[in-house]
Amino acid sequence: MLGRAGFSAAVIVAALLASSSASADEPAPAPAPPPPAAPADNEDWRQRNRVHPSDDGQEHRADPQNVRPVETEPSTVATDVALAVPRIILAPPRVVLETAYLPIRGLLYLMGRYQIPERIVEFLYNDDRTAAIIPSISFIGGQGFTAGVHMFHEGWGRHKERIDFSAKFGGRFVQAYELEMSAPNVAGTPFGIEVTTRFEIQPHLRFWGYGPQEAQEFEGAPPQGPRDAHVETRFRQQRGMVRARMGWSFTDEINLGVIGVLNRRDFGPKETEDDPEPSIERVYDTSQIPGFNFGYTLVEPLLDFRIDSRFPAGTTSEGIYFNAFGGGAPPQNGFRFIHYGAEIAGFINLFNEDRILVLHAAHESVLGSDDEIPFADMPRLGGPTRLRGFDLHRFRDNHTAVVTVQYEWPIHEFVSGVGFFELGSVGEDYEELVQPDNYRPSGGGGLIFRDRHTKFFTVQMAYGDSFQVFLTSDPLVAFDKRGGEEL
Amino acid sequence: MNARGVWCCIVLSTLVGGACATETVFRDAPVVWEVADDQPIAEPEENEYNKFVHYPQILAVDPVQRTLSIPTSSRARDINALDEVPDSTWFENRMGRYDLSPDDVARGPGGGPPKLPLTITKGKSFGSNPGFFAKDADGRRFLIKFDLHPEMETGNAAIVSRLLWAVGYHAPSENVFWFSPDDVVIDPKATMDTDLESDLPFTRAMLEQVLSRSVSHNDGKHRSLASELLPGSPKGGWSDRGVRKDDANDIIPHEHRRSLRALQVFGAWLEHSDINIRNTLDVYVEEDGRKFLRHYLVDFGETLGAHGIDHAWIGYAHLFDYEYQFLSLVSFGMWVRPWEDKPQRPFQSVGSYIPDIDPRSWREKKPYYPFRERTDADSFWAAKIIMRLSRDHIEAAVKAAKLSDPAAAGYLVETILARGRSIGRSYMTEVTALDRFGVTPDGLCMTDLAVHHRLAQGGIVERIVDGEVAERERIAPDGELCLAGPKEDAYVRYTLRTVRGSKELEPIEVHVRGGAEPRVVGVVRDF
Repeated sequence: MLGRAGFSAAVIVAALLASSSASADEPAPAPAPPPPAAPADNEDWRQRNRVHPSDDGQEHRADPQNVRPVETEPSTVATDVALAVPRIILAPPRVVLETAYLPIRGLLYLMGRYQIPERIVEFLYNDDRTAAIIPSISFIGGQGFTAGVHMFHEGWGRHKERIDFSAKFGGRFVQAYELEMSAPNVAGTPFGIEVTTRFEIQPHLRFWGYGPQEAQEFEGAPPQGPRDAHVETRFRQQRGMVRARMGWSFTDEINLGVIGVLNRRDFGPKETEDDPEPSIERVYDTSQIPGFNFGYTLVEPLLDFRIDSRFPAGTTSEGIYFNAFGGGAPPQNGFRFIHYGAEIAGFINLFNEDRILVLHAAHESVLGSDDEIPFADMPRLGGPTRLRGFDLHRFRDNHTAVVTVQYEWPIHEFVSGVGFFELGSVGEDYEELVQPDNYRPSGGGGLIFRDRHTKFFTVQMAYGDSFQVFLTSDPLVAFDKRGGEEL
Repeated sequence: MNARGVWCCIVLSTLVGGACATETVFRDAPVVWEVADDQPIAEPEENEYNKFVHYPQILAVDPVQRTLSIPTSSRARDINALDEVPDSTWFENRMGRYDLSPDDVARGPGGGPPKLPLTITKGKSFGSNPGFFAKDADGRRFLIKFDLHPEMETGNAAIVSRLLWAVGYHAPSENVFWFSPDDVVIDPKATMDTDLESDLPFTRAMLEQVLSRSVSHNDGKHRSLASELLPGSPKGGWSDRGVRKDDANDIIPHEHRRSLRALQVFGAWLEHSDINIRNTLDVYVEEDGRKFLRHYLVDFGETLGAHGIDHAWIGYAHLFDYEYQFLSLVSFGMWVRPWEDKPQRPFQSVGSYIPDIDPRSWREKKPYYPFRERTDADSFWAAKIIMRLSRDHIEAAVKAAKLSDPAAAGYLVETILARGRSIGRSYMTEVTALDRFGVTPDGLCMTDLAVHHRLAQGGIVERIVDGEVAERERIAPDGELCLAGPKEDAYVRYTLRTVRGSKELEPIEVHVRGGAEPRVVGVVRDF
């Protein structure tokens, strides 16, 4: 379960002139004895006047132990007597710390001695650093570790073409593969293409039914429809997807595109008894969950419009991201629906380009009758990107809305603090969506780790209906231009 | 001290390192100005720098260990009877002991720019600041480096090497010069090392790649810095704690060397924020048939605010500064950190180097352990030397940068002077700043350096005997004054304090032996 202590980590391996008009001019030098008789060659300065009247000009060379010829001299640490007791008390922790650090130090020494990080980077990247094979590891609370590899090759064409491939195993996925190719300026034109193919098996996905209701305990009632029960359950999903977007950039900031998505999804009961939550079929009548029992294939065309005035590199401190899309699934396999949504994020530089206020709002809808909309295509809220104080996909229904106020401030050159408050709602219709009682608040904070150009990952804690911890390197694209997740 | 007191003393000394003597007594010996730490030693191994060990140590382990040890400050151990640092393989009294001329400062460590043509013997790794090793027409060997900002890094190195040399540190000869690619030939045996590969042939293409990174060039000529290679065999940098085990001359723990503690003050003066093992160098040298290690400061290109251009916090905070980071975290960004209202740098060739600083709160980039042990006496010593450098001295050093914009050079001169005065004010006006003691027919004469350097106005010097004021003397406008001298062949301890207004400053002791040739035998500044 990503929720209660969900971790998703990916470890991926630089004229005020004269405020003071005074100078250090000196009055006449103090009287000094005559210079030494035989100055060394090219050391003319030794012939200059000496500063100390008591300096006889001789060196009076002595051993290091006898430089200060004292018969007795009190130690300047004599006051340590008063500190003897606390020092004795703190001695064991010091010893423990030193002892515990020894093996770590040894490992660090070996890393440096044999240039292990440099060798790894050299092994993983090509000479131009335009292609790499990067191992990744992640941990999702309640789901275990996910290990994988991410490969990319960019700059192989002349117009920022790039290809990415990733594979992940374990944890949230049994297996997941993704291949993505992008050419933002085909042949140097404003025309761009992105193609993504993905195959994944997710054994632990969760389902609470439809609607904004509070979660219920499982009491062994007979299976019900998705709007009748709101019990946390688990199910398995196998998904194959091809997604293509063709777009035209009118300016650097405005792009209009067409998206086509082909999804093949198959579902089943949960695969492991390790999860305490019941399998979906024990709570819900899966024949009433559209698309569950037999899986489905769906093609969905969408029109997509984007305005993005954010600076393309480094920390986003100002600018706007706006995305609106509309389309839906034409009649096919018993399904049909209209799908549309919009998202806007505004970045306001409050001070010094590092106190940043982010205002974000997103809305997504599918229109149609429940039995013609596959449950997996219902808009959702909850998880590390939307309504962070709630479990992943905690709410799903025909309409979702979420607003976020987020504030980022600097802690270190490479670390920022983040605090946020979110309000989200889902509803079968707009009337339900806007019901104040249905809005769920969520708040939290965390840290963003970055260098001057890239956001590495974020660690966030949030509370909505449960305590959530997220560690993600793949934030919502609305919050980070380099983000990976879209509506 | 009775027997019980002696035993108590022994026990406490064993536990906490304290000593039990109550008064300082200097032997009747001449003041030592040179330390015999250049005795022959076997050739040491190169001191290996391992950043994976070094960074966690200085950023995490040392602060915790130091906190748990409840440290207190202690007197430096490399000082002589006059509370000065004598000449050694670490430090050589120049401005602190002699009235150097501006020409002396202009010459600095000596040498001079190379004589063309240059013959490249080895490439330098294509790091942030590429370059190459070369021989000049006279066979002198240099490391040639270039600017990352127009005229900045080369100029800074030329200035700071001279100033640090003038105050007493061992530094290489660094000179700005110009050359064209036609002035360079590549030795057929020249090689180049990268991070992981060694002895790659150095090619013309590599030279062009190096020169392409140079930002200061004109009419096909490249401005560069010729850093003359130090005579001897380099043995790596010195550690910031303890001693070098394979150097029998190195017997004073580095954190107890005033010359290293006071680098905090010189660092604040010249914005030399990156003082660490990598910017120091032990060189195994031979002189008069003796082979020993001499200790150098090296690599000054990122001083004078160059490092702060991309890192505004430089000089204000450590790389990991727990205090600032905690305050930043809990203030939710409402606290405007001190570097955030720093004025913009006014010249392209000058780094983020401003005249207004608080020397006491200046912080080096990576915590440097000797600075934690620094006392006000150490800082006073450094401030004394800095304040002896006049405008002419500073101008001579800045001229070596060969900046094309006279206004930029003028700004640097004014800023170096202003920061020097800030340091003087910080470390000379809060303590009894008496120095330059001598016994004359007028008595024990001395100079109040705060008044002498016009950092303070007037004041009275009091001699304390048995807790009572036994003698008072007004400080003359030039800072000088004399107290009654010793009358007999006796050992006299003068406890002196300066009073300015109603403020009684930290006292010092001056120890004098009377007799036919009365003389100052010791100075104690325990503040």
